Amino acid sequence: MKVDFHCHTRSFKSGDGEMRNVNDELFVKKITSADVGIVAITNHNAFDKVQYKRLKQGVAAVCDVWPGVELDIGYGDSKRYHLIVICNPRNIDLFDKELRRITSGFTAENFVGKIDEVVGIFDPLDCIFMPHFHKSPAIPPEELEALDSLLSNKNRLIAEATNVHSMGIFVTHGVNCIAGSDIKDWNLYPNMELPELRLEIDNFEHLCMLLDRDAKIVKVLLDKNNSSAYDVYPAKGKREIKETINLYNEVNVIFGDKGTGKTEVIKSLIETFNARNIPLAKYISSETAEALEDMLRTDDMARSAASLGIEGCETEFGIVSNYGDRMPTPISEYVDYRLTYKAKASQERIGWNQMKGLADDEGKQINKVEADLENADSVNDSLNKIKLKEYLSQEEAHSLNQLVRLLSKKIDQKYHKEIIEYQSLLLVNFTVERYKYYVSAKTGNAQPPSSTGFAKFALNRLQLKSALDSISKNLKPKEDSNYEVLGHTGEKGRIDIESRYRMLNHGVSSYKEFDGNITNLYKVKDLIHKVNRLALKHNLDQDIVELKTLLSDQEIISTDSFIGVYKQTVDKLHQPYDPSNGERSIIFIQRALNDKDARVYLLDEPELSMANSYIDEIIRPKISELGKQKKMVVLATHNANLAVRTLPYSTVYRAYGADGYKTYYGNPFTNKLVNIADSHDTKEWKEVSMRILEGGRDAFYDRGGIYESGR
Amino acid sequence: MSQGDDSRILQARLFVENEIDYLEIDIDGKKHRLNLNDKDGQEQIKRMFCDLVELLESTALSIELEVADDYDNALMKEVSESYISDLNDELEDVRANIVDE
Repeated sequence: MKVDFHCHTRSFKSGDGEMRNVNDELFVKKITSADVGIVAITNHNAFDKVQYKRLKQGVAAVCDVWPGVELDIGYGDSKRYHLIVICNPRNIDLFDKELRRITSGFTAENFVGKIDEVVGIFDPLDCIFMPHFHKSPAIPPEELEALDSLLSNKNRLIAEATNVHSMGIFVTHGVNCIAGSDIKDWNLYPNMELPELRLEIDNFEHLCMLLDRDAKIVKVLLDKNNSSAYDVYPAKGKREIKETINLYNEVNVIFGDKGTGKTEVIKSLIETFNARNIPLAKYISSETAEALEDMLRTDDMARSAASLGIEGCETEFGIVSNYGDRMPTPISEYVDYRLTYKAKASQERIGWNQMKGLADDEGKQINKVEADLENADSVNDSLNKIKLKEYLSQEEAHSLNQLVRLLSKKIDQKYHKEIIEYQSLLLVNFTVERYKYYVSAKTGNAQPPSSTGFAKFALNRLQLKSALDSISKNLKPKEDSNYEVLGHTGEKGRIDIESRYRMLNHGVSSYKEFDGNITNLYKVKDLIHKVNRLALKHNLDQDIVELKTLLSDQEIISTDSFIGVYKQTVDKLHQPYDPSNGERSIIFIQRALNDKDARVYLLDEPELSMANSYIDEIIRPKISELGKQKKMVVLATHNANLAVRTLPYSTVYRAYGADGYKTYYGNPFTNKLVNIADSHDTKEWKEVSMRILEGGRDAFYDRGGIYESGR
Repeated sequence: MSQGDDSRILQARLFVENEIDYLEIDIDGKKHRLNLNDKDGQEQIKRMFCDLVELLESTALSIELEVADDYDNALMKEVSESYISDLNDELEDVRANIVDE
């Protein structure tokens, strides 16, 4: 829930400016649209109880309003800083009365209070004290120390930072800190990003109990979200070492020294959720190379001619694989026939003995017309898919349909005619051959040769050449790619996965593109071209035999076998590009965090290979956003920005010492981590997180600048 | 046999040499000599057929038989006439097929 603990509603000092005055209507409108859950009215050195009550009533349905004031506090030689005091709304009358008393005789312009007096008056009224911290006019260290020592409950001291980013830095460094709008112009409200409370509180007392890290209220507030217990296995391959941890549908963090099994915990959770068929998104920083390798596998790419828009040439390969020369008729058959021929008068009279068979194209013409018939059907089908009325007049559509139907009809008629003619031809040739056979048997003459064998030989060779022409044409270099977004990196922009289909190409193709031996494929392709050149030559025999053997050995029956498939990563210009470790990490963490279908997000050390600025500005807000959407995020990390500033609902701390491994469980709200095996063994969350997360408190402060990089 | 303007006529010659009867067909200067006394001889015929198919791809063809003046083997004359006649029919069929394609 968004909160604004530093909000002006009236201009009391000359420096405030008129735009700090807000009317009831604008206040309600702005607070409602900004979705603020709690506002503390903290005008300069004054409190307008009447306005407070009106405003509180105006936004009662969406927001709680608490009374407060921003006081000028003097110190040293007429120096001053600002201290915000927010009071429990139950004590509003006393707060109003005491503030009037302390400021009596002064105007808001010239009032300067003393810290001991202010604390003495307001501390008993159940207040929170928020001095400007590194924000002008800021409290000096000695005054902060004095304020701290004066308060009856030191948890009521919260530093006020300039903005949410600075607040985050201070929180990461262990300072109780918050930021407020300090609004100067209500037309611009909210003029800044407002802080959000990780736990939904209902009233002032809840906030105070949270500040006191009250375990009971923390549990009540945490349990507003669903949680479940899960068994995890921190030791690789040792199922007997089991811990049971409670995970919220929120952000959960696992931290600990290296080698304490954090990654194994994440992996065992992956197994658990997978077994329950719960959709999950995962990121394992040490496995991004393997993950990319998996995505570049080509198992899902079908080697098919269609992928390149070419013909498969199955029929043509069949012709080549089954090819054998039709042998010429030996001239000796002509000689034998003439030697035994007896010119009997009856034979001369009949004359059939001299008849020759008709030229047989072996059904080629029928096949051609049949293909036309299929094409016409296909045209008809395609035409039926088009709503012709959207493009043509009724008359035009009718004419087109009529023409297409006429075309189909005519081709069909020709097809039937061709079948009849070809069957007649076969019958004639059969009759001639049988007649000659019977005459030969009857007369004892040799059977006359039916032909020289040239037509059959020539047509067979021409058919081979035509098949090889078609195959060669379809084996010409060609490639086609489609692209799928892999992810975005900062500098290089979009990275895509290119799925490329490429016809086998000398000097270009890679062996990786093929399942089989690329050398054999080159050999077959070369041989196809060679046999094609020799198709009508006498010296064809040896090469066609070798080609047939290779086709059979390599089980090649279509052009599909020559299509290489390959996947690679490419940049926005579609040039091959291998993402670096860091870019790969960014891509895969994005993919995981942007997986909208997932209910669980399991992330192992997302900070590795990534800049801190990227983690803090991109990754952390996304993780927090997922938590707000009540998705379960489990995060193993060493990064303070992630572990601390996401304010995880649960924290698992894995420790290793002289007495072996220990697992602690807790959260930052109670500032406590409890040993799961021994409830008396506890640690401070803040202290442990500072020590474990990237080197401890000193390292934190040393790296202050790094965490603020880019600002 | 119907032939267009681009048709060509090849010469075939029947003669005897060293007591062997030959039918020799001249295809663009390449002479294919078929031994009429050979029982097999199909390889030689294949060579000739190949050259004929190649030429036939570009033009219609027919073959004219010429018998040497001193040739007197009536049987081989009949065989050659019959063979060339059949071959001419087939050349025409194949050419028609090529043109159709």
